[in-house]
Amino acid sequence: MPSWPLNQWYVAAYSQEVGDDLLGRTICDEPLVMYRTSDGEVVALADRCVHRRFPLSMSNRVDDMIVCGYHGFTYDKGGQCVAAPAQKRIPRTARVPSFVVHELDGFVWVWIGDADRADTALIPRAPWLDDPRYTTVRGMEPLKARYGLLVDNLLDLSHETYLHGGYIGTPEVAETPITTEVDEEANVVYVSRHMADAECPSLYSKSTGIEGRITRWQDIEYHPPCLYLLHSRIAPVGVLPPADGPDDQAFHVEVAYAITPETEHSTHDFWMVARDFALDDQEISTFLAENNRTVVLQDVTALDVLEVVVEGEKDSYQELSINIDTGGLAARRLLKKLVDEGNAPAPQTTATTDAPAVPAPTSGDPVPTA
Amino acid sequence: MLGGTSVYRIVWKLNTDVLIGYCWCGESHEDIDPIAMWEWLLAHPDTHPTGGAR
Repeated sequence: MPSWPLNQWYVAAYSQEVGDDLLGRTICDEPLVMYRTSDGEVVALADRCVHRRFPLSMSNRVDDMIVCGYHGFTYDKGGQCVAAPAQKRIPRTARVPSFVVHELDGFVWVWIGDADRADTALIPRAPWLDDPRYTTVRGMEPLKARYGLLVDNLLDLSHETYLHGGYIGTPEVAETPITTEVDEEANVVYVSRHMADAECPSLYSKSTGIEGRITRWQDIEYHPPCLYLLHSRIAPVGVLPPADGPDDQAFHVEVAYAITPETEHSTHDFWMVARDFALDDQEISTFLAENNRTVVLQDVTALDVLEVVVEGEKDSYQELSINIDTGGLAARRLLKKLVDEGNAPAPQTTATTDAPAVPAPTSGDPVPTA
Repeated sequence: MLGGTSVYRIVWKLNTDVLIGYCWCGESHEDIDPIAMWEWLLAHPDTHPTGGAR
């Protein structure tokens, strides 16, 4: 069984990445090929020709079909083979699995699990990423580490003080106690760190223009397994949200990560920074993009090292957890719960039939994974 | 803050290393070990009368 939950939505790409060209990307050990049809619909198929496994992402797009670059097997957007070389009869089993996808908030989400269990209402939201009242910079870094290490990293921001000093880390981050909450029914972890009087890190002093110390709030909202949100509020010391009306004396930065497993030992680290100020200032956009990427790469370097350490350690190794890990421990537990739930059979919704919800694959058919 | 009816909350007691955990039913528990704290919280609903939020 994989270490990630099945029957869940995962971010496969930014919407802007998927266009006319064939995009190959492995999501949760599933090699996918994605493209956008002439109608604007995003398609995700298994990235292996059913004939001799040649990657379709390295093949050719003809209209809304893919023609395998090896022997010419041609697939429609549903994954059905519609043409095979030098013969009229197309084998009944000539099709590749198609995956359920849904575009929301600038992401292409893919359902990893049983297609009949896919429900778009379950996709967690990050609306500011696709909202004209915010300006967003974004990127994606490949991580040679298991996704759980990135979850650990992001749920405990005290590491900012040590790993990201000079960028977003100041002494107060590690010194300030946190409050951790878990909603058992909604499957959300919330970690708050409110710093009343803190040094302003350079990332924020240069982008907001605030001089002097700040009131800095960090409120993490993790929707396992994939979406991590950090609501960051920056204001001059003592400036709190008003009891009524907009919080317009503060700067708001919405940091988001999509944590998508690629394999058991690698992860797609999608990162975004949305802000509600200086919306048209390209200089600030460039500054935030460059500096935030530097911060992300500091994490990537550390987590790539940790992956080697964890993979090579003895089974008996016992790690230590302290108060700062309360949120990370909560996230691990929710992930484990989701893994167990994802592996369980689908709940029966009708009692009137014994027939399976999905026809069993015929012998010789590829078994669709979604 | 989360506003659901099944929210566990752990706060850090001011100027100490002590954690205070609150079950969604309102009962609380103090501990200095986050793992032990989660074990208490997760075991706690088992003692609730039938008809709780879970």
